[in-house]
Amino acid sequence: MRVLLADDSAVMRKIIIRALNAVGIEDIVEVGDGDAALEAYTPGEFDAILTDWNMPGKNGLEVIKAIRALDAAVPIFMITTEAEKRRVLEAIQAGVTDYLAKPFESDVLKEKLQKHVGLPA
Amino acid sequence: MNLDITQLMVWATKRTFSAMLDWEVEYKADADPTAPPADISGIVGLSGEVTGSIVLILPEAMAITATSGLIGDQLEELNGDVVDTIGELTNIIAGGAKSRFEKNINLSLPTVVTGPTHRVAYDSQANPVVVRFNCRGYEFAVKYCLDASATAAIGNNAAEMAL
Repeated sequence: MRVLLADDSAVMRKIIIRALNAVGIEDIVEVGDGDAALEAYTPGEFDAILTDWNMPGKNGLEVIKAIRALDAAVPIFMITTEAEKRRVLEAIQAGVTDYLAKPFESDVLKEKLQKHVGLPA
Repeated sequence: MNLDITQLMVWATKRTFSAMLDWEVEYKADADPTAPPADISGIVGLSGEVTGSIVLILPEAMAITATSGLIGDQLEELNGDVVDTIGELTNIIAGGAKSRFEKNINLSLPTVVTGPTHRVAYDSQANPVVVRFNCRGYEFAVKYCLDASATAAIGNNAAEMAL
C-alpha cells in the first residue's frame, strides 16, 4: 500500500508516519505543502492521500479538489485542526473521503483506513 | 468577561497536551497574571469574525522534552523539530478554541519565536490575558488577546468545559 502524506509540520508528519507504520504501511511519500503534494501525485500510484488543511502554497482543500479532478476513487483523508461543521462540509463538498480533527488518536486513523482502504483489521 | 474565554483556553490546552503527549496539565487559577519569561513562543493569529492572537509560552527544557516525546528521539538542545513542535501545539490549541466559537474564523500558520527569557508584547490598547499552567514541574502559559466580539461568539459551549 502506497500513501501520499502532505503536512507542513515535519513533526506531525513523523507522528502520522509512525501511526501508519504501526498498521503496516511503510511506502509513504511525504511532502511539506500543497504544491508539492500535487507535484508528487500521479493517478493510480497511490492507495490513499492524507493531507493537512492549512499549508503554505495550495491548501488542503485545493489539493483535494485538484486530485478529485484527476481521480474520483482514491481515498483522501483530511487531518487538520479545522474541526467546525462548516469546514467539514466544505471538505466533503470538495471530495474528501473522511476527516480527522487534530489532535487525533492513532486508533481512529487506523479505523478510518480499515474502513476506506481495505486495511486488514 | 474573560472567564469563558479563559475556560476555553484551559480546555483546549489540556486536551492538546493530553492527546498529543499523554501529559496532564494543571491550570493555575490563582497564579500571577503576568506571563512567565519565555524561551520559546508559538503564535497563531486569528482573522475573520473574531480577531487577535493566541500564544503558547514555554521554557526551553519543556519544549525539548515535549518534542523528544513526540518524535521518539531524545533531544539535547533546541532545534528545528522543537520549533516545529511548538508551532503545531499552538496550532492545535488555537484550532481547538476556534472550533468552539460560533463564528467564521481563519487561523494563520504558526510563527515561533525563540530566545532566552523573551516576552511577547502588545500595543497599549490591547488587553492580553495570561493563563498559567503547571506540567511535570514546568511552568508555562497560554496568552490570548482577542477582540471584544470573542466572548459573545463562544455561545454556551464553554459552560460545559470543566476546569
